[in-house]
Amino acid sequence: MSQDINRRSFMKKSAAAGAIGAAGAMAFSLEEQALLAKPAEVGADKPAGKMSMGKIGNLEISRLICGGNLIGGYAHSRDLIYVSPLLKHYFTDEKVIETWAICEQNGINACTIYTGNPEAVKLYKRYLKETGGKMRFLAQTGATPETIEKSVDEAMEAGASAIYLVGNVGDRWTFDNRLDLIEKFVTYVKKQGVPAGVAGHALDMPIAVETAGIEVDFYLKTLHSNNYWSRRRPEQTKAVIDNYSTDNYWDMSPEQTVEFMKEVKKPWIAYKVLAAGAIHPRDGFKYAFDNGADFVCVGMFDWQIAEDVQIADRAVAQAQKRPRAWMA
Amino acid sequence: MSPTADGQRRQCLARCFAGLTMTRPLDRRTFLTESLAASAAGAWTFGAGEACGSPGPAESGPMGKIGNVEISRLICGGNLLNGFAHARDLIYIGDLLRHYFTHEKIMETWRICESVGINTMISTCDSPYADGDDPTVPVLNRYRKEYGGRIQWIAQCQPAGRNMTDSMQKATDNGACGVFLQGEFGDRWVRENRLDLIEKVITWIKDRGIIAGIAGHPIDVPIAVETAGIPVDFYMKTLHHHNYWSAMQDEQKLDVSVNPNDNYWSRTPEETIEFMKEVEKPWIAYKVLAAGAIHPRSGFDYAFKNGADFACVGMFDFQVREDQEIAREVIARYKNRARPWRA
Repeated sequence: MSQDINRRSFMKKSAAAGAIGAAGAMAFSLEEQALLAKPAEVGADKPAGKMSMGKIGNLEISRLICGGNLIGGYAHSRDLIYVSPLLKHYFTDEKVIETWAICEQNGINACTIYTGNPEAVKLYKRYLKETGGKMRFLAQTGATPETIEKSVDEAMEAGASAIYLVGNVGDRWTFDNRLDLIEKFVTYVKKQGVPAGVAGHALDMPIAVETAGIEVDFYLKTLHSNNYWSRRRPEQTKAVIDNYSTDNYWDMSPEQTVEFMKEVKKPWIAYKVLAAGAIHPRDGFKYAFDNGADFVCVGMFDWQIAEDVQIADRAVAQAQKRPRAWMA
Repeated sequence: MSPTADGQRRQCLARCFAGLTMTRPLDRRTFLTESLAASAAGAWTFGAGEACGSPGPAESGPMGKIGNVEISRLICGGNLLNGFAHARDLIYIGDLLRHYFTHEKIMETWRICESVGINTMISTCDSPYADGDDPTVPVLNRYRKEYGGRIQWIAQCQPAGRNMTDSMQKATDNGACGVFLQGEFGDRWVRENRLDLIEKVITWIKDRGIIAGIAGHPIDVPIAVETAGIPVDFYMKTLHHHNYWSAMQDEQKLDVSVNPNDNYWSRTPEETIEFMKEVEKPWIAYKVLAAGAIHPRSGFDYAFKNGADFACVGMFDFQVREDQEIAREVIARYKNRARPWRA
């Protein structure tokens, strides 16, 4: 696709951005449309293309962050064999670019990208060049003990606005009591002048990092209710990172997560808030923001974004007086 | 040729020739590459005297016959085209399917099917669950007219309100080689002991000179129809094992068609296998992969080993070739199975 065509397509969609919100509203239920008619609650007085924002350090990012798993083909679809390959077929380069553009049109200014995947990084650079987009990205890095500096350097080279240690590694290093490695990672990221984060599925991770006094700038910690059919069954006791054969839960103790995070003074990006597609955003976003999340990171398809932004804005507005203070 | 088969052939011919531009050039770049190989085998254009039931695929595959209609043992299912994913509690997948299966993608999928020897698809006709946007008929007609596609269509139909046969009439008008009563209706009418309605529908279909079937999820459906002696040409009956994570749980007692979790379709597969052993009509097994949770290696093996004559499977374009290879291997393995091949 030529640069010109992409620009044209982007501009056309940008021009229609105001209409996107209206179109999204059309798809809502009657109850939702009634709610949308109350500007004080839902933020309907905001101009198109704006959404609720928060800050991590000096970095201003939207409270709804575009996740990267779907784009990478990580569906976490339980035993449905075909879903991950389907995602890879759906998310052509053009579709990824379109998805990011729609995010920006709707006020989402940040996404996550796994910088260990050179194709993803290349596509991000193409997106910026061809569309003139301003999307920032939080780099998800899967460092090993030997490649901490290299991974961070790659993320910086790719243009990351913030860098965090991927959840599998955050969990693993916590379980292995290798907080020295987490500290080394965080210190090295901060040296580059960007916010440093650590992700994890196990609550042990933020507990350990807080206890050790490691100066992270933000956490990514999973959070979802257990109110979905394919949730963790009583006999499932494995840690999340050991459950990939079934892949149906990502927060084993949400109440404890909520309780602990209440006292954590660092910004919290909650992820897997929809349990990888089983919880509706109306419920998942509300649960996350009511219970302390400062941001949510959510994989989204192009056709879901406008509605998700509306729902997130409403959830943020309704959670202003929640028990956990906003940390970002 | 029997009068029925003759009528069937004449109807097919009339329908085919009414709507086709005979050797229209391909006009979609995406079709060109694979079509080059196929057209060499004559698969993409109609010749004088050809009927819409004539297979003519680029590759041959295992075939069977229902009546006089030659049908690939692996049949391309149509649920995915409508976004009927049966994806348990994963909310987004139905929408994803509807976005993925553009009209071009549907035609591409059928084209790949034809190129590997799958000559038949089963899909809905104005499904009431498709919000007025069932793509089957318009896309099939376009596929035939613009691309010379020849995939056969066995139409899944159901009454709408008091009207018993509108969708069936539309299916026959649009070239269906067979029609069957949708599974939920098969289940319901058997449950309500309305075998008279089933018989009416079957008679209506057969009067049009095409093959007539009935679908159902519980084994009660073929039992009741066999007992009543209703002369169906084939059965669609679900069959899958329970060896997948999201399978029926102990506390799940509801019939398939009212199960809100949409995670099982063959509650008693052993009973199904046992009963179907004695049924002499062709059996198209469906939901053999439990809507995506069972690998085709396992699901096809279970179905064909245990008596199915055909398997109807929803497939993505990127799965078709491998699925047909697996079906080919599995079918070759079970030439002498307990239930004789009935088609």
